[in-house]
Amino acid sequence: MNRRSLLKLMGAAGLTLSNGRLSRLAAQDAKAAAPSPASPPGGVLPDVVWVEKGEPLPLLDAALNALGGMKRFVSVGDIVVIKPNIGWDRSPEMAATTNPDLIAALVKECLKVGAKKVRVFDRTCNNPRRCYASSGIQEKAEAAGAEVFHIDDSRFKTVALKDGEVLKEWPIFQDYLDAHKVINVPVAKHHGLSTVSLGIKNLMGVMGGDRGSIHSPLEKKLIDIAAAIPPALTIIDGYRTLLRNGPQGGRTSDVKLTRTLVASPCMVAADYAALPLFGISADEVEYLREAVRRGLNRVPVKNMNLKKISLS
Amino acid sequence: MAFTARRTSQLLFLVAFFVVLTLNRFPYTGRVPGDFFLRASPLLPVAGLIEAHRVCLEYWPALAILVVTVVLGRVFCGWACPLGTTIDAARSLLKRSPESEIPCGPRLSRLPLIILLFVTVCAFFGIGVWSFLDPLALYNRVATVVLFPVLSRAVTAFFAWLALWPLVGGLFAPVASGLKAGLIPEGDNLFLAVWPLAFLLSGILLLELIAPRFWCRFICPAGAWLGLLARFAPYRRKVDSTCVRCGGCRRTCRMGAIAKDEFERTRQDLCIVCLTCLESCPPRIECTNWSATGGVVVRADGLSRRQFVGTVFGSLAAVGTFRVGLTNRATSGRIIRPPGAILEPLFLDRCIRCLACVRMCRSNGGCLQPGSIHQDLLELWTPEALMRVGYCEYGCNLCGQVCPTGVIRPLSLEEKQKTSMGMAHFDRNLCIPYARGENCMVCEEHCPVKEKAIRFENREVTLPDGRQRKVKVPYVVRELCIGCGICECKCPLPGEPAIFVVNEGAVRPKPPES
Repeated sequence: MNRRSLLKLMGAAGLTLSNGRLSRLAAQDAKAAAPSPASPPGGVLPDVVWVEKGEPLPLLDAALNALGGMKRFVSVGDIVVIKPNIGWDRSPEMAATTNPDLIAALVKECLKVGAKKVRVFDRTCNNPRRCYASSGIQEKAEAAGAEVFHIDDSRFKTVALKDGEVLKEWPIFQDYLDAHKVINVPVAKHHGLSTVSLGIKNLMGVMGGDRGSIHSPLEKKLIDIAAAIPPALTIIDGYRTLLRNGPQGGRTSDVKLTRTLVASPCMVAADYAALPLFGISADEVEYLREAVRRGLNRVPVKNMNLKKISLS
Repeated sequence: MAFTARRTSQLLFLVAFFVVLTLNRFPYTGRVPGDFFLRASPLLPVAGLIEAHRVCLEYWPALAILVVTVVLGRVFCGWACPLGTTIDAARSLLKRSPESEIPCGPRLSRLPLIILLFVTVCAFFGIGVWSFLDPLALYNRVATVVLFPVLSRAVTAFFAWLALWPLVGGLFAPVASGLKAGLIPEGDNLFLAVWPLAFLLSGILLLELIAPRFWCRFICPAGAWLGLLARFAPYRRKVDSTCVRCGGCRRTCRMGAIAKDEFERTRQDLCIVCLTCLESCPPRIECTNWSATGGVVVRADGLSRRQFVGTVFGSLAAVGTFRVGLTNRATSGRIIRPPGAILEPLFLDRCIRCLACVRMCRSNGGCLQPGSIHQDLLELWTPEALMRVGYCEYGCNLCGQVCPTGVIRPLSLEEKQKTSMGMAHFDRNLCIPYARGENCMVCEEHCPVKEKAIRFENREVTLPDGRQRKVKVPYVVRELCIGCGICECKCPLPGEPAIFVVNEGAVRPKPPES
């Protein structure tokens, strides 16, 4: 190989690499933009879907159908991140972690519409191995074909928060940023500090650094960061709802079998719509008020287009 | 042939030791008992007899070794002991000549007996210093804290580097990720006290520059104890009349067990049946053999009356010194033991400082670390929960399951969740809601007790500038707190935490025999 051909090769390699990087950046922009409120032949799609009285899989099917199908959110060849709550060393019955059957079904849906890879992870509070095992998510998501792995402390990228009021930057997990599409799948639960823990709070699982310091004041800092990393779709697992002693609970007497699922492309609207699970209003949830004040909601929360489906 | 068999056995035991050590982590099945090799320590049954006044059958691997030693001699030292194997390997690396004779050898050769007598006298007075020198406890200690972390990282890093190569990298990538997942999963195998134990191990290995198997010949109390039993072993080295008195066997004997000028005689208390003498016997002569009859032994060096009495009195003086320490509650109240650890004086006496619990804990909450000396030498390397390093995982009871001596009682998960390790206290001068009038509640969120041992009340506070604000201020429910320390671990303040655990109200069970 002479010098010329070597230089040509290097140039080509460099272009290929930078192309990959560019397409990745483009994909990130695409992710930040809301999926278009498409008008299908049948009429306008709802902003939020509330499906109740069903088992996890039928609940998911009904919700996705109502929202225009998984194809609306995931394209062929996408790398999809499904972000459940795996935060605690608790069994699914304790409703401290997302229902593993729901996660497995979602993984299959994504792969069915042509996703290239589906990745599942969460930055846990208890030991990650224990949480991934006890929650049942590792086993079931892997069986469904996802890559399930632990958060690696060396793989965080500091992201600038251009609309941040308190925080100006925060480290976010690289694989979350690299995904073409993110589906956020929290479990509905009570939380001592933030009153409830739903979609926005679940995004703390991809935040690096000292997460304890995000807690004071939580509503400001949480919204600062969440505004920069919105998911394409939020699916709130309300099959079981942890009503007291959240966010980790630990006894079934604090759990109510609510058999519900709430889904929306707008994370603020999803959290708003899920509040009836707890029988509370948005006035009691400081971080939601803050999110609306900052205009994080893509749909008007006071009169959103909410579709209710009952499967019974 | 026999020589190869011995080496193979050494290698197999060493590999088995590290396999068991590697499996000592979450998820732990217990199919391979994590404390198997630790219960094989020859000194354990003796210590059990002295401390618990009974023959402890749970130490059956050790009892088996004692029986084998009475028949075959110190084969454990030559064929199985992982420390002995590592020492042999170090000697080959250091290229020390096999010459075993050293000038002060005869004088030093009584040292193991003196050490054995010393630790035995101490044990009678409830002071378990023997465990500092026990070869298996010591090896598990250095393997846990130094060897395993360093080697596993080196191996994983090597394959990760190979995986970066063009073309062949793809072949090594799965190996690298497999090793990473198998050997050093997230958050595993990092410890405090690495350097002291690294120095200890290097010291023991560098002693090989002075004489082969220096540790085994001149220090190891377990070796001395096996040596006492080996004197009765009928299976011995035998030299027939064809011996040409070349002296090769004596020169190459790593234990210095062959008598000077009387090559047919063996120091039965030193011989570890490594069979190097067979190898060194010249071809076509092969005068050396092993059989159950007819071997000639040299009378072992015993302790003189003066040495015996001197050692006993010296040991008593040491016992007295151990006994006259003053307790400082500022530090003693901060020593948190694993859940189910027996009463503190007995715990210090019987814990063999093998760190099996500490290794297990690293793959769970990670609070247990090799203890440092707060006020008593005996605290060194006993498991101590440091809640700013980790916390006790609520759903974990694995430390008690791998404790070879049962000083951490094996508790069911339900029992363990009620067995208090201590009590959490707030420092309201530091705590964010109290000190700054801002919400925090990280401790409350992490408190694993189902009824919540940390709760909060809503309070109206006046800020320094006169503004009023509603704040959630936390408090501890003393009746419910089990001292697991996750609140102290996760407290977001840098440095000193605003909530900390002391050993107040810790449940310390009695030992099993009482």
